[in-house]
Amino acid sequence: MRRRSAWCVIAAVVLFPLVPWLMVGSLEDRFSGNATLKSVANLAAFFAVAAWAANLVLASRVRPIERAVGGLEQLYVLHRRVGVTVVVLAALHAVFLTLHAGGSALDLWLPSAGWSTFSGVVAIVLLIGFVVASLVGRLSYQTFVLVQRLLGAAFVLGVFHAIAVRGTAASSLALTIYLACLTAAGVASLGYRLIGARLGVGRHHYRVDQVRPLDEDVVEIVMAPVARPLEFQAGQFLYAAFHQDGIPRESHPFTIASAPAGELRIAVKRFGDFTSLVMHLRPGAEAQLEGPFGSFSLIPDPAHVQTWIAGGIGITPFLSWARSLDGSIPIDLYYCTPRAEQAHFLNELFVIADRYPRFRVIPIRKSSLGRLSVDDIEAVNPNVSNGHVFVCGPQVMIDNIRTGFAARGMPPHRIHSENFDFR
Amino acid sequence: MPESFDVREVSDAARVIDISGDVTAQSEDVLMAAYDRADSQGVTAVVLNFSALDYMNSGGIGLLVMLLVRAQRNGQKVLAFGLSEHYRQIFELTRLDEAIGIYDTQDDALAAAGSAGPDVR
Repeated sequence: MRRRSAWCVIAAVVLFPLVPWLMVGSLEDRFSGNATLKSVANLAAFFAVAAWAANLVLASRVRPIERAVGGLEQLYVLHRRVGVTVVVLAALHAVFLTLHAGGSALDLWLPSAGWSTFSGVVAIVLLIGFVVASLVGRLSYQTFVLVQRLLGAAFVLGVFHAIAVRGTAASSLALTIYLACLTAAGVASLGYRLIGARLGVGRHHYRVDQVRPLDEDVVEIVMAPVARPLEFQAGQFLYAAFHQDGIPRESHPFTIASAPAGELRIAVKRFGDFTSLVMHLRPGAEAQLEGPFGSFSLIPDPAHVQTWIAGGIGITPFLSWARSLDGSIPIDLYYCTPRAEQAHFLNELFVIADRYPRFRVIPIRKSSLGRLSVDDIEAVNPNVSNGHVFVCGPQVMIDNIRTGFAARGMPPHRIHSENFDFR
Repeated sequence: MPESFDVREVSDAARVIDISGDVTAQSEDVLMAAYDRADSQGVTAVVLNFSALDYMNSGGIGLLVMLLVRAQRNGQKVLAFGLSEHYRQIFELTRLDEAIGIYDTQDDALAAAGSAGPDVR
């Protein structure tokens, strides 16, 4: 529902320029003969600028927007699709304008066309080049950040072109004001993302107190606030950047594994270059945290058994929930790991389960039991469909569980999932 | 903790695992080895005898659920008898009684498993 509403808002923002555009001049003149090509080109340009600005606002990753679209994962999906829309609209603008110009089309693409026109050319080339590179190749984090910054510069050029070039924008004050407002929102969002991080705006300062290696690929990091602590709900995640020589000051997402009260803990698994370096984090390092994000929250329903399914490091949100339990909720937690020694938090979970007998912890080792199936879960709890099911793990696991329960007629709103692959 | 749990062949279709001592997370190898011995062709019921159980905690409960998963995959029922009043309550509290039939005696459990009668050994 939130996803649909978010799309509606974006569509309204993108299509709004149509209103002032329609109010200026006669439609007959603008859609007759060759003028049609220019009209389509202009509309595509206005829509592209509006969509681009909206996308920069989405990319700001501020919490109200993240919540409004239904979570960061949805926000990333939306951001990607709006980005593709911007490219398509910009390409349409270029194609239709070139067709309109006919024999003198080449003049439009050269610096001799003047800065108001050529800025648009530069913006389109940068935009299409960067977006195609982002979609096709797997960019390193540093390259990705550089691309985002250059795209910000391309946006400013694009807006300059849309407003400065002679055309409908110039003749419609309302349209000019609208585009200017969107530009301001886009630039402010870009500034928040690029400069805010350096200034610590919207960030929480923590100090690393302990780094506890759980095996060669997983560490648990315990942090304490230096100033204002991060307030969160069990199951949410944060972005963390660590200040230590040898670790790039990149901000990466990690699920909070601790209960909301007390010290803050995250568990980090070696997935790529950055997380490999985090394995070498030392106590005393500063950490800059942003968040919290996510809506993977515990549903306090004591009447029905909840099923929690964790795949590997996907145990972290459940760990946060378990560490916050009051014992009133009946729960089956399936802790799925490839091998027994990788279930690092099993003993702690058993200690919690000893305290709250309605909380069952069931270790599932792929090496001895294979993959957990919905049949297995039904055998253990014949009434599983009456409660909620929560899954956190690799996408393939989430898909299997969702498909299995859907085939048994379980309503989708009772199946909640958190995929850490998108991060 | 015993080094192994006895497994008795009480009929072609049923096996009894005699659980003794403590059942905790550390009992995994012993319990699963007993199940491996009980799980032979034609066995449709695995009966757990808790008469000699001293202590069981959440780790042990988790192991019983693991065993239940394995038995379900092999098309076997899991039943239990010999539970003290305390552990009967634990089974109810932990909802194990919803998936594992609980009986007073071995005969009751085997009858429920459809294995009682002349071919009980």
